[in-house]
Amino acid sequence: MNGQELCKRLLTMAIVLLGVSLLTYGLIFITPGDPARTILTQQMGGQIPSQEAVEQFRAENGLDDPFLVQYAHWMGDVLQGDLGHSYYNDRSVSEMIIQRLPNTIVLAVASIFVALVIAIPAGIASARNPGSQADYAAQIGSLIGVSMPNFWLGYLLIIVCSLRLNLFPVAGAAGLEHLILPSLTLGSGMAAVIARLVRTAMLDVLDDAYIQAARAKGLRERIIIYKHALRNALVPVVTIIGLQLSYVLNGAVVIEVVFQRPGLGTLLVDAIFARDYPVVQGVTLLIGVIFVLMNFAVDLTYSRLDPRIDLGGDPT
Amino acid sequence: MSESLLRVENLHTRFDSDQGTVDAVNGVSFTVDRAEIVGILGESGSGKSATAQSICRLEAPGKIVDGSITFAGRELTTASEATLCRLRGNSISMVFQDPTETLNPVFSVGEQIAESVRIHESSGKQRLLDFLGVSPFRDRSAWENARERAIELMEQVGIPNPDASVSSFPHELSGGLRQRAVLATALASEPALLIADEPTTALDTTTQADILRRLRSLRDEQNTSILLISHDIGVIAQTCDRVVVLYDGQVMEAGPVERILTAPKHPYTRALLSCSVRNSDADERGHSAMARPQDHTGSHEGCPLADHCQHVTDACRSGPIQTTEAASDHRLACVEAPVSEAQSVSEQQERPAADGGQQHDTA
Repeated sequence: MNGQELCKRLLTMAIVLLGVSLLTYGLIFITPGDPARTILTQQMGGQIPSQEAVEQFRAENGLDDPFLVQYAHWMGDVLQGDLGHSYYNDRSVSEMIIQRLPNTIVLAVASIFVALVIAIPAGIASARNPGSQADYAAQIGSLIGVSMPNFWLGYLLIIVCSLRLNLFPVAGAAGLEHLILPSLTLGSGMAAVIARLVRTAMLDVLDDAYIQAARAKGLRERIIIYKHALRNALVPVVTIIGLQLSYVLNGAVVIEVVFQRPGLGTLLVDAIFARDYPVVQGVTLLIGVIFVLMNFAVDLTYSRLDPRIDLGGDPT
Repeated sequence: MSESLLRVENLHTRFDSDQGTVDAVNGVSFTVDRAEIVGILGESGSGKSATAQSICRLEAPGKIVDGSITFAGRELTTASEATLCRLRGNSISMVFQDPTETLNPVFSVGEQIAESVRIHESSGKQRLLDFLGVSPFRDRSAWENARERAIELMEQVGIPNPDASVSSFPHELSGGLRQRAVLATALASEPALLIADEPTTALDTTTQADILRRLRSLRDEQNTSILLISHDIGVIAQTCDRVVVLYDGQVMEAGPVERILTAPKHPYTRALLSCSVRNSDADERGHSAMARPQDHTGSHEGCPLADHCQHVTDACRSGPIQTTEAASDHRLACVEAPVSEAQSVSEQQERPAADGGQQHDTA
């Protein structure tokens, strides 16, 4: 990828992010509920705030301005690295995000790890003996994994592993033991999708002539599978992992609530319920940025995995 | 004959499919001596490739249902997978038809040749992490030596500028260079037997000639035995010492190339010869009526050519055709051929007067 191509990519990414922020800002703008009233009611311990107080709050926080003015104002701050402050306390949004982000990243990475550890061997086992019992077992398992809502799986795991067997803590984010159940919950759903894809891609690749040629070289079957076949099957798998990242981030929102993990997900959900718009905006924008960057990284991985894939721009 | 490097006897390889059972190889016998180039000649569907795959024991999804394959005194039809792996890495190599498909697109050709070198060196002990190249487990110096050896091999098979091409990926090379790289991969193990399945079919004629010349010099210089599979009589004629003519999974005729290709006794071999480019005037092509796609689903009572052969008699349909020896080194599976040679020549001279010959197969 040359410089010109890179610039084009970055420009596209900026446009996508602008769209994302405009959309979320707009959606919040049209959701029912008045942040001024909600927040003041809470601050006053359930009393209905007076009209003057509401109007003063609106004026202080710029809530009276037209949509585009509010948006432009916010965007201007964002471009200067300022995501604003929470309506409730004076903490800056970036500070809140930085505090929560590591927990979510750890959860996401652990989930993807769990997913790959389950999915790749399962998909390969399926593909090597299509129609065998192992294949059916993997396919049924994957169907269950895809169909099961992950919050429900999360509660099941809590009931069985934490409450009955007392193996893991129910909630929190302190150490590794707090990570196992959430990442298993999120990872197994992802594993189901990836395993099916690995199976299909491997079945495709195992029919290719170079696999037979590798056997004719006297290479052991295990090396053929994990070196020659898997490497070729990985391109579609990496694509889906990139897309699954959105699943992880979406899933994290729910799973963090289920397991009471302080992360971006819980931050976002709390902020939505509290109509703490600056926080909602900041978190959504961050998720958008992560997503766009991950897709970019996936594109870069393609040409590393398969030298035939040229990311274009340079015809020579 | 006991010193033959490869001995295939009464080989039957069967493929089960939804449409029924196909006996792709149906009682094939032949031998390959040390430092000998044997050709297998046949049209598509004649069982040439299935024979080659069976020898490497890569016939799956087909199955060897009968017969034996002896390589250097060792029976291959019953050998364990580990033994076969070792043989493939050390003694038997295979070159396939389409070099575009037989090279893994995601590894450089140098890596793929070096891999063969390492397989050969490791004599059966292949560690996954070493071959995957996971850094602390990769035997760096061994791979570097293997890469040096790969460059030598690339030079040996005529790849220009091997120092540069060693890190090229298959898609960056021309078809001819790719096939040379495949050949280098096969030669990395210094095989006693090289099986080349249509190695030049996908190549242009100059490259073809060069590859065939290299195969011959391989035999001359390193005493490598070669089993060359082709549908092209010209390729066989240029390269081989002996030829085995296959039709419908059965050996029609086998013997020294100069005898078979100048004085064929079997009607099918004659038909093939008359189809070859050199003799392709319209009248002669009447014989191609016999060179038709084989019908695998029919029963194998009698001669597979019975319905297409102009010399057919009741004896041809009445039971298995016995293989006779026209000479000590010339085998023949035809009831009529040994007697009908003179007849056939006279017939050929009469034929232009007949009705074009195409009706023979429907008559």
